[in-house]
Amino acid sequence: MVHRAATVALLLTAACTDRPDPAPGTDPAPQEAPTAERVAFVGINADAGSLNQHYARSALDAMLSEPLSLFLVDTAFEGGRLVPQPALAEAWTLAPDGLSLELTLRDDNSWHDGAPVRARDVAFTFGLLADEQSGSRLAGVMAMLEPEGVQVIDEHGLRFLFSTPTSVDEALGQLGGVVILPEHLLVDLPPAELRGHGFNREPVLNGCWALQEWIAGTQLTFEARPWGEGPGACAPQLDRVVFRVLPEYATRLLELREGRLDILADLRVQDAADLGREHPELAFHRRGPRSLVYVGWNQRDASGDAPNPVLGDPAVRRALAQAVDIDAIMRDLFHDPVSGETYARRAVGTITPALDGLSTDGLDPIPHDPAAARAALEALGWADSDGDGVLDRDGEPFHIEVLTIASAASRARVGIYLQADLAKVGVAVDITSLERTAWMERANSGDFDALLGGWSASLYVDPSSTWRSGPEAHWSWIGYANPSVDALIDQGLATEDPAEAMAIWSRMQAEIYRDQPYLFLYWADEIVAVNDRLQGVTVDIRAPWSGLEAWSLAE
Amino acid sequence: MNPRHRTAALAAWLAARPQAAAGLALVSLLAAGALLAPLLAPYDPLALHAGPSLAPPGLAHWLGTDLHGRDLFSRLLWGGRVSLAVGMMSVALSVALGCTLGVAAGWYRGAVERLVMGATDLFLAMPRLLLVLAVLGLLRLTGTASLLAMVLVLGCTGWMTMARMVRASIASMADGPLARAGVALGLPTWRILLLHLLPQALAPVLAHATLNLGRVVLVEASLSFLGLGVPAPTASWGATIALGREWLHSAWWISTFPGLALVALVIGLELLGGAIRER
Repeated sequence: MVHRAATVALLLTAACTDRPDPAPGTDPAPQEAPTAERVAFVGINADAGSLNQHYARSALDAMLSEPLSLFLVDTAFEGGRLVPQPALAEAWTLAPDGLSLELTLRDDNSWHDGAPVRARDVAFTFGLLADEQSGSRLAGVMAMLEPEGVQVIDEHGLRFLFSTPTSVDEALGQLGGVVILPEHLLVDLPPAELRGHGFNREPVLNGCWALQEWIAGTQLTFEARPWGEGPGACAPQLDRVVFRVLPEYATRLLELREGRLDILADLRVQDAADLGREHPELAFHRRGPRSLVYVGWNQRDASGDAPNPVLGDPAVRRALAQAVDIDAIMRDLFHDPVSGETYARRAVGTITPALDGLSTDGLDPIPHDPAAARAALEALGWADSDGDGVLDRDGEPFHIEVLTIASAASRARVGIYLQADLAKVGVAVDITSLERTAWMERANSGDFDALLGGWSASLYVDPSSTWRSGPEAHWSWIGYANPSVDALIDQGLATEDPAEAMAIWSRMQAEIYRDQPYLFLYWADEIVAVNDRLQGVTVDIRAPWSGLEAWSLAE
Repeated sequence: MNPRHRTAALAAWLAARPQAAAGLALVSLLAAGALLAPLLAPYDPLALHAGPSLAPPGLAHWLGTDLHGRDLFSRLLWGGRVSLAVGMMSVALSVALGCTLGVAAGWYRGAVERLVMGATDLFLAMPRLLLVLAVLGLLRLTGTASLLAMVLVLGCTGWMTMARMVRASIASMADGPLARAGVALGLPTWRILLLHLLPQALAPVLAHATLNLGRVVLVEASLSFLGLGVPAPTASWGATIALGREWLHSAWWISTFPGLALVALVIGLELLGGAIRER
């Protein structure tokens, strides 16, 4: 990037000093009026970790890196489900037996260094995914493919071979999320070195935007990079988009008020109400529900091999769910007294209710009933034998340490309610606030009682990583195992008809909710403020900002 | 000196030093509020929904309420107990350590002195806040244990200057008439050191301890602000300031009052400590 900036500076200098004099007798060329740069500013709450989606460390990384790439397919969220749209692949054909899919790539897309994007780049990328040493977080997609399941037909033609019959939506839903990498730049790099390679901070990709500058902890600047002609080609209306890193919420809010940010996501309900009154130039979009907040109970003991003697019992977990007043939490944190709306709803599972066909009929949230919770715990042998206000059994007090992430302020607020509500039934709770990496380490090692966490729900339903028994569940830190749920996951993934699949997922949610491996708290809607200076912004469930190429500045 | 004379001397000393009187008044006011918190606090500092969420200062809630409807005046009083208790216990530990090591180094000299002064230089070279952050982060304690750990860590990282002061005083007195008389009378060493030499070296230590108390209270507030100090939901000034920083525009009162209390306490202690040092 430094080299590129230096080159641009040199070219500009040359243009200023070496311009030939006009030929005698001719008019000098008309001076062009300087054009104001068209720049939009977006507030973000943390710096990026990696701009290569294969190694994204957070949802923010994934969102930031998205405009830098042109994916195999784009997706629209229509009718409560993801619908594939042409992107790098302009056409596709699924074989009648559902075992292979042929894609035709656009021939006018190029990498940010000007090299053309070819089918062999796609094959190279999937080859990296197949190599365990690459450690890509997107490697899970390889499970649906045969070994050597990506074939190059010609320069812009590809064939994917599936291990089991699949539908177009499922195939494209899975394959489309893979960021394609440039073979000509990375082919000589050992896969094991890619995770820590400088490419992840200065990626050369094929999207409508290229990274111009990344000032650590301050801002990332994306510059427009138009390519192609005709439908699907990229013609951004802005010159640059600047993502400003503002860790303090109060600072982000101030910058939005002062008009120094055009977009700010994750506004609090109370602030949105205030801003709406004072700043008519701001429009507010409600996005979601995609953000789930939960408490995960560790169901394994300290050794990791045996059930947790306390939290491994579903009856205990159900009693804890009765003890917490989730409606009060939502009322305090997400209720707008002016509009009367609450920007959250009770959660009964990890599949977002925004998905069409998902039914929670007959799945009533556990009601808040502290007396019943206390009675249930006493029936399980817990009693306050020493009168200290904390239940105990066999001399051990009922004490839970809940781990939360320090930077997740809203979850810290939830912790206060947990402590107060569980104290009322005699359960002592300590909230330990950790940095994200420390939290992840303890979650991964099983060294915790409970995790106060959040999920950004996938819009493509595959609960394997969360709820399946065994090592395939990468994100099942709590050690949940239920053969019936495993069977429903297999059944749901094998069902092609979306409506039928949704019915299976609903049954799976009901099964899990009965077990209460999580204290399912709520789905929160996100409020995104957009200054009317910036137009063409799409805010939907996929991202607080997307389709940057459609953004423009008001005259 | 009998108590009446002592009080008169203190009053005369304060009258001659208005900054010391102002400092003492500030510290006394805040300490009294903290000590009498169970009597003065109108609400349970931990009670959710004691009032409406984010209520501004008013008659029902003098300093307003936070997002959870907790009364901020009650939390300020109870939070003062935590800040002062942590500060005083830490400083007491620092004084004990500093005096013990300083006396040993000043009296025995030689290898003991080199060892103690080497340790002093080593600890002084390390940034205190970073050291405390690292230790508390590694210990990963919860509840009361984390409070005690904070006291221990703050105490064990604040003794160095006092050790140097005491070492210098004891070293200068080790060959003096007081020490020689004690030895000639056959007094045990501990008695010479503890009852005769150390009291002579304590005045600058007390001045430093007073100044240090303000700094320790600030460090405690910083740790709580960073989420490594007093565990939630215990009220503490630093944690309340941290809670309110997200509401600076719409609910300024959450951070402002504990911030002012903290500033007042530190200024009071600085004024008092400065006056003692000049004495």
